[in-house]
Amino acid sequence: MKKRIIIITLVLILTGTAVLGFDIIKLTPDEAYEAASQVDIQHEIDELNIVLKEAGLTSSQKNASYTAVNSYQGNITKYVSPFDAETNLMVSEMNLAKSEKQLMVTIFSSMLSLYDSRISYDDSIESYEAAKVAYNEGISNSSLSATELLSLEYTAENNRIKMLQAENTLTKRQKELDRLLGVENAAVELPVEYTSPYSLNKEEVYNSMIETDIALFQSKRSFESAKLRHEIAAKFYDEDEEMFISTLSSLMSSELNYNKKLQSIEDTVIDRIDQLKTMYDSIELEKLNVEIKESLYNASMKQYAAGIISVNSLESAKKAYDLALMQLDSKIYDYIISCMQFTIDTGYTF
Amino acid sequence: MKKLTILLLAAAIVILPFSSLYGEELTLFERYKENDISLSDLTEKYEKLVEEREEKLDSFENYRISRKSTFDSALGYASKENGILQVDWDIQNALYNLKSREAWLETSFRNTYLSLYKKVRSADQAYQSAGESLELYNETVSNNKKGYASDIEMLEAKYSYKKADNVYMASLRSLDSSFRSFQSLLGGALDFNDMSFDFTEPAGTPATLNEYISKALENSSSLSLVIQSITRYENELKYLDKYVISYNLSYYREKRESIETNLAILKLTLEKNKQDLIKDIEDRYNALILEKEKIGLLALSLEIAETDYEVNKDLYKRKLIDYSELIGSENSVKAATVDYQLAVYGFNTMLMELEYASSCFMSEDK
Repeated sequence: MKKRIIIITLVLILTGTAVLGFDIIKLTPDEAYEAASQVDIQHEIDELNIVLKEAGLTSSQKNASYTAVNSYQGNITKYVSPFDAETNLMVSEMNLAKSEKQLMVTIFSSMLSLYDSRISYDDSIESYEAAKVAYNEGISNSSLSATELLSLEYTAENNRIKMLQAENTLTKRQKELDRLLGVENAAVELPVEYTSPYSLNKEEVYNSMIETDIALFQSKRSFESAKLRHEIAAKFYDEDEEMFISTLSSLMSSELNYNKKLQSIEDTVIDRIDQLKTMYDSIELEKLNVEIKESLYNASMKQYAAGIISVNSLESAKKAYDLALMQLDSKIYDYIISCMQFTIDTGYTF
Repeated sequence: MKKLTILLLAAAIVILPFSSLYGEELTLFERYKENDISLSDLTEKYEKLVEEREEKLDSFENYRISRKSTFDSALGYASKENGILQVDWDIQNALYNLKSREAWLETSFRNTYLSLYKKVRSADQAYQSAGESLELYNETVSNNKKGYASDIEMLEAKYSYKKADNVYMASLRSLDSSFRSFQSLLGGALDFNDMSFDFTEPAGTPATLNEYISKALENSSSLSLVIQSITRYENELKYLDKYVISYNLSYYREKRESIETNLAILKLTLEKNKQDLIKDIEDRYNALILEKEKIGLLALSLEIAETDYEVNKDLYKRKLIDYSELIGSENSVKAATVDYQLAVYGFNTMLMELEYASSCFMSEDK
């Protein structure tokens, strides 16, 4: 029912905008998330796989209740198999929960790619227009040699192809976002609020990641499962028998694997915080660039008013300022998306 | 000695004129194809499946169905029907894998061949660059002795030469390694005399995007394998419904629920695979169309080089430029020609890759 309401709403939006002549359908992050959830096939597949895992756990628990514990295999069926089936289910559920959180990041990343490709496309149009003007002027200039004229044509043609490439990328990005949201010509509001990573407490992040990291959880459960197996093997086999040695070896290897994962988390936390710091610093640098371009633009306006520079120079200064603003926005969005990814991966909320 | 051999071979490849060697390229490709173990394994597998078809079908026709319970009968009938279908599916899948491998080998060969040529070209450029750096270094040493160049300038020139020489040596090693790989792909020693790189071929004409999409949807294994699994589960469901006593019995109910969940997953997977396939074909098609535009650009670049050369020939006759300038513009024409030919060759390879992704190789054999 909910799905239908959303689809109908989207159809109404589409029809309305088509009548009013607007091309782009702007969605808030929540609307975009809702729309994407409805068309996310992989999510549906993952949910159904959980149903299968639940059935697997039930069946394993049922088998366990009928199984006698007078043999090694009987003990495995009774205690280890349900434990492993439970691990499979828990891991699938954790992965599903993570992929739900990941969806928002995917939406924002897709929108940011679209935003960046729009900047490149606009830029390529300008370059092409300028080269076309130069070529047309070249045609009417009789003093140019055939080679020089061909070179101008080449530049114009080269810029036209770059523009086509940029257009192609833009269309591709738009389609990717549309496919993700199930909406044609979509756009999503990108968040603008962000905080500094310099206040992050490494220990808190580390503790949070230990509690939430799926791979670590999985290896911990594998270690516990191996421990169970070996305890059972110890009851039925002597120390020199193959099964005893085999389960002991699995136990040791799973313990080693768990400890390795635990150690790697500490490094990961440091690396991830450092990455955020680098990105945050680059925002500050872009801000400086904006300030410079703004000053230059203000100076150009005064110079233009005084008749010192042409309107073309003023336009160039304006374009440089606009570009710097867009680049700053892009860096900010990129940082915010990375912070979201950081939260998903570490379980730590800013 | 080894380095010298490679150098001579590399030089021979570069110097050899472009001629009509399409036939020789095919010979190399045939060697490449014949030497592919996977292809021979796939051929053998396919032929064996065709040969055993009747026998397998017979064995399924005579398949004994357990009558211990109606549940067992249901599973038995489904298993029999699926088994019969699987015989032809296996043949169809084996044929797909075989044709797919053949088509892949063709594009793979073209890419390897091009990559080897690029290595030769790069080694040649690195050789020239190292030679120029050495010349500059010798000149700086001489100037240093005369007091016209400082010690630092001499050191800088030495550093540049050493750097260029290292690049040259690295490019030779890389060429040597690629050449050895190419030889092993061809299954034996490769005679450089049989191998003069030729990239002259006309640009192919792509079909429409819709044609590629429709071929891909019709033939792609990423869809047909899922469809086969769907059919298998549907058959199980059909016989379960036919022989069911009551769905209140847990083993009937659980089996049905499991089949239905698997069916739902497979149908969603089929939908997702279709979407992914269409997206892949669209992306490849758009990239191909852009590549065609680039060919036009390189044709223009060639025209510029040719015009420039014509002008220079005239200037040279009138003694307004020197011979080296004339040769320079002639070399530019040669370089632009090669760039144009490589672009066409690259475009044709991309076209083949698009056809491969669309499973066009299955169109006649299905």
